[in-house]
Amino acid sequence: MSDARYGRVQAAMARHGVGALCLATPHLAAFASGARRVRVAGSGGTLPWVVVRAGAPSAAIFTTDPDGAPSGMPRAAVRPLAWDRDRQLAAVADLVREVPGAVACDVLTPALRDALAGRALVDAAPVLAEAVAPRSDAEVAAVVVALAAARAALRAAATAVVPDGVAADVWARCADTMAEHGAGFPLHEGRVRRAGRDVLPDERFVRGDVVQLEFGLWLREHAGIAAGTVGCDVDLSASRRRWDEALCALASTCRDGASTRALREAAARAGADASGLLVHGLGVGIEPPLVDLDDGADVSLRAGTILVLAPVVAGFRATRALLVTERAHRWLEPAP
Amino acid sequence: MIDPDALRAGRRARLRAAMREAGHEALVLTAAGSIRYATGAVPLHGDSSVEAAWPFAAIITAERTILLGVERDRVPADVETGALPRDPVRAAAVLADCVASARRVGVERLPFATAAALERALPGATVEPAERSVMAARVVKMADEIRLLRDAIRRTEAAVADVLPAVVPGVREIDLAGRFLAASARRGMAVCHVEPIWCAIPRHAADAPWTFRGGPPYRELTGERPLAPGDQVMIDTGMLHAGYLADVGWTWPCGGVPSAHDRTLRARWDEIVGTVLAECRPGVTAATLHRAALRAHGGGAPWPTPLYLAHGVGLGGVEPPFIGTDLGLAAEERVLLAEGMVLVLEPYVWEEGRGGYRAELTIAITPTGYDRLSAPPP
Repeated sequence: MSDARYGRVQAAMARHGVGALCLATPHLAAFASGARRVRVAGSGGTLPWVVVRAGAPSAAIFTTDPDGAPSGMPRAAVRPLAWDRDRQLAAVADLVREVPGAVACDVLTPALRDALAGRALVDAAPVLAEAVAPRSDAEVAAVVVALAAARAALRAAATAVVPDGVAADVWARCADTMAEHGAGFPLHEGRVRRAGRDVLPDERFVRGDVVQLEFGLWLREHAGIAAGTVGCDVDLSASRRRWDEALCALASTCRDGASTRALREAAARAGADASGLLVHGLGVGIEPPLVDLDDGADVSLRAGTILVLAPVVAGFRATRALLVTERAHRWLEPAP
Repeated sequence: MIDPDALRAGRRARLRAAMREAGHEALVLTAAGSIRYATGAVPLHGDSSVEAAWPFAAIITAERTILLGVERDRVPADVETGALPRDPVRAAAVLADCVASARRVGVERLPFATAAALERALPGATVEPAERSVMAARVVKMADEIRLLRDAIRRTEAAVADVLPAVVPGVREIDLAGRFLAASARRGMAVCHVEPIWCAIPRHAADAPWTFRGGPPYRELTGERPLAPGDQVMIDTGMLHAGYLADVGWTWPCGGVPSAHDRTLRARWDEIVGTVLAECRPGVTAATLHRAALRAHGGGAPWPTPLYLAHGVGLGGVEPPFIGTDLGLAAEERVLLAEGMVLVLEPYVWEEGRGGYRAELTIAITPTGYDRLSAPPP
């Protein structure tokens, strides 16, 4: 699977005239290289630890976890990460020295600029966004498995939303189910919200609560995410039906070449709001396109992109994932 | 009881003092830990892709504390808030507006396009790493911060202990990681900062052929492998409680009964830790601790390459000082231990055929020595 991604990264680099990619951000570095390290929350530092050179058969990685290198990666491409900033930057500069073309980076610091002095530096984000699609069948299948695990974890978590139930059980049941599916680290802390604010682990639910839940996870290097809204002894079927209609309206716009503006317009017509992103991509993490109701950016959807739709209608928020195809969409999970 | 308002005010005062010392007229902070430190706000804690999808930043000047991109209910009332556009040029314009007339600006990690746009939006300003201010403030903890760290460690130790009876033959490493997350949640800790490590230590060098030259054979990526009787399960966890990281690590035999080899390895670990602890007091250099560990080990470095003997810890993650890295003894000679520093000591001993032992001990430097924040490993 990482070979397919690497091929798309190389192709996007060629289209953008990029000679080398230098990546510091964990999910972008993992996307391009296929390398796994112990996962730590947050955006990481400013030192590149993955370098992709145009035409090279494999990325080069600097790591604390050499056993996380993809099986096909040559041993010479796997080096220890240097904690000495100057040494690490010098090693990166050395790798890209002979490569013609621009150097694309995901972060920019004065030290990085100095280390790569004389080179044209460009933003890696457009290159990587382009490489998101089209997903191979194996990648789509892997995300489907992760989505199913996330949905199972969400369902288990939802069973803890009962009168006088303690909120900590929501996370605990989610974690138990994650592990049963082989996932050991959450994508984020998990969202448990009622009445527009977060619920803390030591709080209790009361009859009539409407609780929005969202959990994400990684499973075999792919991300799954699931959100839903549950009532604590309260019937949500009416708002659920309205949410479903809005979801279908959004989904009907999802096909190759459609614009993200069309998604926003469909949401407005359907009376849908958003809590954060209305729609986002999914793969080795949250990926482009990132669509929210206020963002004026207009991006064309491409076949082979996995999207998570997350409309909110009358306080009911849930997600459902689909695959954009040439003419329409294909749901990747059952209706929540 | 800890007064969160007083704690927040104390941290912010320390940060502003560090800014004056570093000559930073403004800071642009983007690391969740730094933002918690400076503002007391709680951005959604997640991986780098989550942070890219829901970006946030704080701007600190001598007079103002502004937080962008975080929901109001997660932000203390005395902090100004606003939106952070996802578009890099618009985001840079908002940041530049908040920075206002500052001529020397410390900046944490920014995406390429935002960083480039910010440089353009601040002509004539000097943009440099915020680390000099942020780490100078964070490296020494206040008493209430140490109390929070101790509480986080105590809860995490209890959660790890909850899982130990499940370390039996046939259970998968990943199952233990999940059980630990569940146990942590039941003890009030729902925010996982570091992927829980529950994995068998290689007993032979041939079991870890990818290990870098110069370091002992090692692995720390939790997988789906089932455990075998007697496997030495290395545990390393990193949960946040009130934003403070509990870094708790032990080694536990699969089945619960340590072998004679396990006891020997543990005794060697105790000896190394004891030798290092004997040096821990204000004014001692990090290099002194490094040399003490080498002396006690009597051979190569007792930690994996490229990891370390010790690191700092605090609000939101692993922090400097790092002891035992490629930064080297010369750099460590310039790092002096000071009262209020919190260190995690984590040596690793390994022998061919016998396997390894690794555990973590968190200490706070006191006026005369150190105080253990961790319980002894079981």
